[in-house]
Amino acid sequence: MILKITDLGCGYSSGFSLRGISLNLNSGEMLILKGKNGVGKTTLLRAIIGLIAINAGRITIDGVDVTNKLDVKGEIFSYLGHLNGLKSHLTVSENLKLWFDIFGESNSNVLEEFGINNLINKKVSECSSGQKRMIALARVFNCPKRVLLLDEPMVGLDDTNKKKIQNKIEEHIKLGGSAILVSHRHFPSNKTFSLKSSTIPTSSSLNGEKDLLANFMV
Amino acid sequence: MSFTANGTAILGLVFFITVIFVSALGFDINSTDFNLIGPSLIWVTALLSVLLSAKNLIQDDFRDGSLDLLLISPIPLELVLALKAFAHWISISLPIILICPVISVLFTIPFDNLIILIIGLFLGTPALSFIAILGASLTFSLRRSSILMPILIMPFYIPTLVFGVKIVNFTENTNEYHINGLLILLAITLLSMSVLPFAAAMGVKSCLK
Repeated sequence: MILKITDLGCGYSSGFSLRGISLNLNSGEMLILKGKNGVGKTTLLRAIIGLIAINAGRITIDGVDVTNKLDVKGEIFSYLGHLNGLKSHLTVSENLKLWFDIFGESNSNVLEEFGINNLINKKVSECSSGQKRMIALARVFNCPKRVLLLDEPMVGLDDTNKKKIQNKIEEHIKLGGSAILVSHRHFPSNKTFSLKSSTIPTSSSLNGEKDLLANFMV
Repeated sequence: MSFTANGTAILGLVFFITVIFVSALGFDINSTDFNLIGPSLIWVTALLSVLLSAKNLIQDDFRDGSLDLLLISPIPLELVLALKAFAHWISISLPIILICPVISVLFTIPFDNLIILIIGLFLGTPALSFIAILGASLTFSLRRSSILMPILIMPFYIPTLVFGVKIVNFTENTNEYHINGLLILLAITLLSMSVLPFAAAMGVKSCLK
C-alpha cells in the first residue's frame, strides 16, 4: 500500500492554512510529524483523515484518489486525536462497546493487554487522564486499520504504558501496517516530516493570515 | 445514553412540570378561559423543554472528540443525526406526552380535547427534535450557542405550534377539522425527518472547516 500526498493545501475559515505538503508512506513505514507548537501538525493529521476539507493537492492510496472521501478513509485509517472520544457518564465497557459496534470488534484481548480489564465497570469520569488515554488507545488497537493516525498518543501515560503503546505500534508496522504520528517521543522511525512556519509573504498572508510551508526532511 | 446523559431526560420532565405549575398559578383558576390556556401552555412548555435540552445534542460529542470518530465511522452522519433526534424525542418529548393526562386534570381539559392534544403532541413533537438537531448542528462550535440556537430555530417551530394548539382550541370542533390538523402535523414531522438530517449533516461538516 502506498499513501501519497501531493502538494496538499488545507485550512480553516479562520485563516490558518497549510500548503505545499507532499509525502509518501509505504506499507511497513512509520512517519513522525515534527514541528513547533501551533505549526499545524494536528491540522495536517485532521486533513489526511478528512476532518478538514482539502482545497489543493490530492491524497491517493494505491493510486486511487481519496482526497475528500471521508467514507472511504474510515476504512483505511484508524484515528486518535487530542480528545479521547469517551462519554464521561458511561462506564468504560459501555464506551468501548459503542465504538467496537461501530468500528468492528476483533478477537484480540486488547483490554487485558492494555491493563484496563479491571476498569470496565468504572465510569469514565472516575478514571485518570492516563487511564482515559489507554481506553482510547484500546479502541484504536482493538481493530486497527491499515494506517494509524495518532496525535500525541502517549500524553498522560506512565513509562510502562508508553513502552506498551510503542510496542503495539511497532507490531502493527511489522505486520505491514503504516502509521503517521505526532509525537515528541523518540521512535526508531526512518521518516520524519518537519513542519516549519514561513515568513514568505503570499496573497493570503498579506491579508493577515498565517501561512505555513512544509519541508520534507528524511 | 440519552436518559443517562447528565440527567437531561429527567431534568426536561421536571422543567416541564415546574413551568406548567408555576404558570398555572399566574392565571385565575375560576376563569372560563382557564381550560383553553391548558393545551397552549402544554405545547409551549414542551417546546421550551426541547429547546433547553437540544444544546448538547452535538456539542457534547464535539467537546469529547466523539464527533470526529462519528464523522469517520462507516455509519453515515445523516443516519447518526436522525437517530440522535429520535433518541432526543424519546428522552424528552415522550415522557411529556405520557404525563399529559395527569397535567390535564389541572386545566380540566375535556376528554375529547385531551385525546386530540395527546395525538397532536405524538405526531408533532418529533419535528421539534429534528428541527433542534439542525439548530444544534449550526451552533455546536459556538460559545454562545445556548442563546443563538433558540433564536435561530424558533421560527421553524411556529407551524407545529400553531397547528398543535389550534386543533385543540378551535371553536369549530368537527372530526374533519381535527383529522386535517393532525395530518398537517404529521406532514411537518415527516418533512422534518426526511430533510433535516441531511441539512444538519451539512451544517456539522461546514462548522468543522
